[in-house]
Amino acid sequence: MKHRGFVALFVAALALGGGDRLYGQAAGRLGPSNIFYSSVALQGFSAPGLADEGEYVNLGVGIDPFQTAGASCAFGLHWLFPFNPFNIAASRIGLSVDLTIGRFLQHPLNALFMRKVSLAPMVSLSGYIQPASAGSPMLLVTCQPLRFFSGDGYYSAAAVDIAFDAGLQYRGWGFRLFDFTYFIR
Amino acid sequence: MENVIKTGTGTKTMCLLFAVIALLFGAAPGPGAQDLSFSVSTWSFFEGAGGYRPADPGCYGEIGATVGLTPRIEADLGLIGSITPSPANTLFFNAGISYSIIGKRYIDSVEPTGLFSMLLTAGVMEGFHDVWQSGAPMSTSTHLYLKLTPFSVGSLYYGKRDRCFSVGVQYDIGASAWSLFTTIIASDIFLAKFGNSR
Repeated sequence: MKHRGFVALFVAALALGGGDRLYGQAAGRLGPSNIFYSSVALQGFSAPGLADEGEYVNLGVGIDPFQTAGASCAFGLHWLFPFNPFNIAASRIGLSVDLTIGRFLQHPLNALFMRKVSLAPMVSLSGYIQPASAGSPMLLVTCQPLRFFSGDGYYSAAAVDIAFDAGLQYRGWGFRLFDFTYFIR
Repeated sequence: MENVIKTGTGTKTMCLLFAVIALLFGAAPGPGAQDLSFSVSTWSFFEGAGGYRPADPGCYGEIGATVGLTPRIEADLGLIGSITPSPANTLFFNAGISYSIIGKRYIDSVEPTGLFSMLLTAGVMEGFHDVWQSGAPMSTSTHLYLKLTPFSVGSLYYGKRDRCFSVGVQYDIGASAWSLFTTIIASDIFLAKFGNSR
């Protein structure tokens, strides 16, 4: 336990003190230079018995300390609450591990943007609980293929969630209309 | 679901209004017509008085097209569909006319517009509910709406326009009910300009 505590402290110190120097960027790559971020997403679910119908807002904060030209791994804390219909009592809080797979400057969707953006698809694993009620924990595997980095953050649209319950049984799916991540100091 | 009042009206007046807007859209390559763009947006329908909802709870998105009729007026045609929980089980055909309040939305390809504007939109939606859900008969609804877009950044001169936090009020003719809606974010991507505009 003591050893794990020291390891955790070391990782935290490294991330806070030198995380922004850990990344390396090959020539021609675009990637973030900060490590702390906030995020906002609008999503819904088709998972009867696990998540109610309606629209959900997902607010998050996190850290993205391990950044390379090829991949990065971020950790986030999220607050997921029903926005429409509004039901704060059904809020969930959760943790996520987000794996960005590559950053590609050359991609077929460049014509949609006024300035250079890199395509940075992501796969994420997150777990949510409902503190205010005895609702079942929810695990999400999220695929964000249409995710772009523009210098100040990531912009994603049309992402898909696969929902599982605490027993890892498939319970349904979800859809994220948009998911925006902004890097902060 | 039990709070949604689904009553088909099929009023000839609303169908005529829808057709007029669609014709304006189709007649775009005229002397004042300017540009064509592709649009995507989110839609959120809120509950009105007495538990009325114009559509079942869920995520909705719209794809459509916008054609500039004059430097300040544009016509929009789009298809709004449910994404969750049942994709395309609820559909709205949407037709609207928008007026750019602060500045011109598009002048021509050589004269820049202002970067920021606001839009006021009036339109009509024809809704189709329970399109494929088994056990429930499909029903229709007709809605008139007025929408204000307070933040419109960019313009088609710059190739792209983003609109956010639009708020609107809609009136369901068949249910005689009002409710609010919002489109949190929308994007317009310039596709083409017409021959009479530079």
